[in-house]
Amino acid sequence: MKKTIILFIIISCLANAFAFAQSKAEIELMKKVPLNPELMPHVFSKVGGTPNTAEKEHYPDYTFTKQNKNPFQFAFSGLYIGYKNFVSPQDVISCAFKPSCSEYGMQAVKQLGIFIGIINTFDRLQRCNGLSKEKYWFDPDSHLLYDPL
Amino acid sequence: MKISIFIICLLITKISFAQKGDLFNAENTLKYSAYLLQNQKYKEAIPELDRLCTMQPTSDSLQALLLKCYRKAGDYKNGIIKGTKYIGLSSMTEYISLLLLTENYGNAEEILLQNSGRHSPKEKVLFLQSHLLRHNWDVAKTIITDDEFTYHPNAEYYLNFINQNKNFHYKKPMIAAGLSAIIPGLGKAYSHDWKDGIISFITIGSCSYLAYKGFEKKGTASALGWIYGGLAIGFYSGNIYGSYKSAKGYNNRHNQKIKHEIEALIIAD
Repeated sequence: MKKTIILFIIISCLANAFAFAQSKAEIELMKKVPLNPELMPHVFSKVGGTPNTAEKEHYPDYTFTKQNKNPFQFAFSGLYIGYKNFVSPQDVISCAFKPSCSEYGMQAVKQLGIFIGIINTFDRLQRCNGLSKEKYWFDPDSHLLYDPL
Repeated sequence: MKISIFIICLLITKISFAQKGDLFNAENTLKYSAYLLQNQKYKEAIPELDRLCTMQPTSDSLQALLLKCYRKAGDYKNGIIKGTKYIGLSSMTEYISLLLLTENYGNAEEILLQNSGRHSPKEKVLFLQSHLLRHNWDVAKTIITDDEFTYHPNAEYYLNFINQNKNFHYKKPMIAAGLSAIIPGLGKAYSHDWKDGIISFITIGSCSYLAYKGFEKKGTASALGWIYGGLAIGFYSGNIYGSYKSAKGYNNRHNQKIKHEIEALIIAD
C-alpha cells in the first residue's frame, strides 16, 4: 500500500512538473510573439471589460451554481466548480452530449433531488459513449448530441 | 426645348393615369395573393388574404384559403384564432385541420360529430386522421372499410399504417427495470438499446469485479474495494433507472413517429 501511495505521489509530481514546464515554455513563447487582436479576441476583450462571444464560450456561465437551496446542493455546486476549473480543462472535449455530463449531473441534483439526481447522473455517464447517435438530436453549434434533463 | 416640354407633359399624364387604379382593391389583392400562393409564399399571402376576407366577409372559399395559408406557413395558433370567426363548410375543414395540428383532438372531434351524416370526403379523412392520432385503430379501420372511403387514393396506405401500428408492441418500463436488476444492461437491450446495454454490462461488471478483488485481498479494510463497490452500486442503480427511461423513450419515439407521419399528411393535403 505504501509503495502505491509513493508511486502515486511521484507520478503526480512529475505530471505537475511537466505541466508547469509546458505552460512556462508557452508563456515564454507568447512573450516573443506580437499579440494580434484579430487572432486573440478573447484576450483583448478582457482589457475592454466586456466579454465577447468567443470568451463567453471559453468561460461557461456558472451562475446557476450559486442558486443553492440546501447544503447538498451547495456541496455539489462546489464539486462542479472544482471539476470544471481544475479537472475538465486538462483534457479535450470528450463528452458526447450537450449539456456535458457534469452540467447534467449538477442540474439533475438541483431539479430532481439528491437521490434521483445522482442515479440520473450515473445513467448519463453510462450513456456517454457516442454509440447510439440515432436516439438524440444533433446540436449543430457544438457538434454534440443534445440530451437535456 | 419643345420636345422636352412635350415629354414632361406626356410623363405627367402617364403618372396620373397610373395612379387612377387602386393597387389595393379586391381584384388586385386577389391577383397578388394568387401569385404568392403559386410561389408557395404562404406567410406573405396571409396579410393579403386577411384584407380580402375583411373586404368580402361572406366568402367561405377565401376564408378557407386564408386558413390554408396559416396551415402551410406553420402558424397554427393564429390560424385557430382566426378560424373561430368563420363558420363556412370549407373554412370549417381547414379549422379542423388546424385543431388536429395543435393536438386539440377533442374539439376537432366535437365539430366533426356535429356534422355527422353530411361529411364531405375531406372531413372523412380528417375524422380518420383524428382517430389515428389518438391510436383508435379499430374505429379508424371501420372508417376505411366504409364503402365511400374505399375509393380514396390513400385508402390502402391508411390500412397498412393501421395494421403496422396496431400490432406494435410497446415496451413496459417496469419490465425493463426488472430485467436490468437481474442482469445489468438487459433492460436496455429489451428496449432495443443494445449498445448502451453492452456498455452498462461491461461498466458494472468491471466495477463489481474490481470491488470483489479488493475485498478478497484485504477484506473490509480495502479502500479500492469500497471505491469500486460504491461505483458499482451507483452504476447498477443508474442502469435500472436508465432502463426504465429507455423503455419509456422507445414508446415515446414510436408515438412521435405516428404523430409526425399523420401531421405530415395533414400539412401536405
